[in-house]
Amino acid sequence: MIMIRHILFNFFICLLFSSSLAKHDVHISFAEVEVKQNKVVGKINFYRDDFFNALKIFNGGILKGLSSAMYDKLKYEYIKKNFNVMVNSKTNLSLQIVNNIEDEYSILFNFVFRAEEEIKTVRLSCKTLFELYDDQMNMFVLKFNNKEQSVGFQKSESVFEIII
Amino acid sequence: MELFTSFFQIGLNHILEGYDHLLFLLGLIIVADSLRGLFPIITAFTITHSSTLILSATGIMSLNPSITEALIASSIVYVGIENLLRKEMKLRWLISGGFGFIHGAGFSGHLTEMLKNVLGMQNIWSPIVGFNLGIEAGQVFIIFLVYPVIYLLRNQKFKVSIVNNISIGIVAAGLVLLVLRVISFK
Repeated sequence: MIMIRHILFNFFICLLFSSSLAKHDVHISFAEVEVKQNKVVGKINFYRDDFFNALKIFNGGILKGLSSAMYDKLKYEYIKKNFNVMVNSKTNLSLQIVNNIEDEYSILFNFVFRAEEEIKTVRLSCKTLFELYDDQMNMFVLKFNNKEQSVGFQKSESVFEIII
Repeated sequence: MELFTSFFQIGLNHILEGYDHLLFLLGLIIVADSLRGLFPIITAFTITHSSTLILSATGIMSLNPSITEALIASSIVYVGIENLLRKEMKLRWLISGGFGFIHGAGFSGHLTEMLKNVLGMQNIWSPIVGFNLGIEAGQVFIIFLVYPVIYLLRNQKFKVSIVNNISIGIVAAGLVLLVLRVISFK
């Protein structure tokens, strides 16, 4: 009986701190990016619930009642704002989303950034989902010049530069 | 190699910040009477949660995350109650091994799915193995942190009282997690 009383007492103590007992997820997104002669192509995958939470914040807390076209535009605008590619230290490339595929848990975007000249340097910046989690990490596998390198974009380090 | 290292770090952080796994591990460690006794318990847990990871990565097994999370919370409650009620902890590796399957599903979850989507099935092993080894490293760190204290207390009269109080805390925290996770069932 005393034991049950102790358990109940501890239960209510824990309940008081229950917000800090919430489930801890791995906060990552994952991308593969390839730098070609005059374009940067790749795909980026987010956890679906994280992405839509970020989208909701981005849209001022509203996500219901949007038409399919508005929805697509919102997704595009969010990624465009938070994922940038600058080449040759001067030109910001414009994002083109080729398609996006959703399943129950994740959302994947295939994208391309086209340049009008040969790419010699690439400056990547990725800040997606940083507004949601302090420990969010956007993992990128970069392919260029027959080389492969992985980079983790974090809140403290959201820019990376490569020389081709 | 860099991808491996990054995921090793993510795995390490995941277990050190994932108090549900920590509570379960703590429940197993505090009643161990020797490192020799603890070894099969931790080994069984490691083997089974690594197996779940591989089964999930190969697409053989897929568990509903809401159910997985509720079961993880139940495993914490169970271990705490067992600590309080059982006098002898024989064959505990069966318990840690059994619940290891569930914890493994919680570790790997949809990380595998995400990696598969981007890298393709053939290239996911380096990050997945890195992630799993990070979890193992975190587990070893916790054992080396907690076990010496338990060892020092082994002949003290108040050891039982300390173990019981910690176990009560574990049961209570597990119950809170269980309630929260059942409420948020999808």
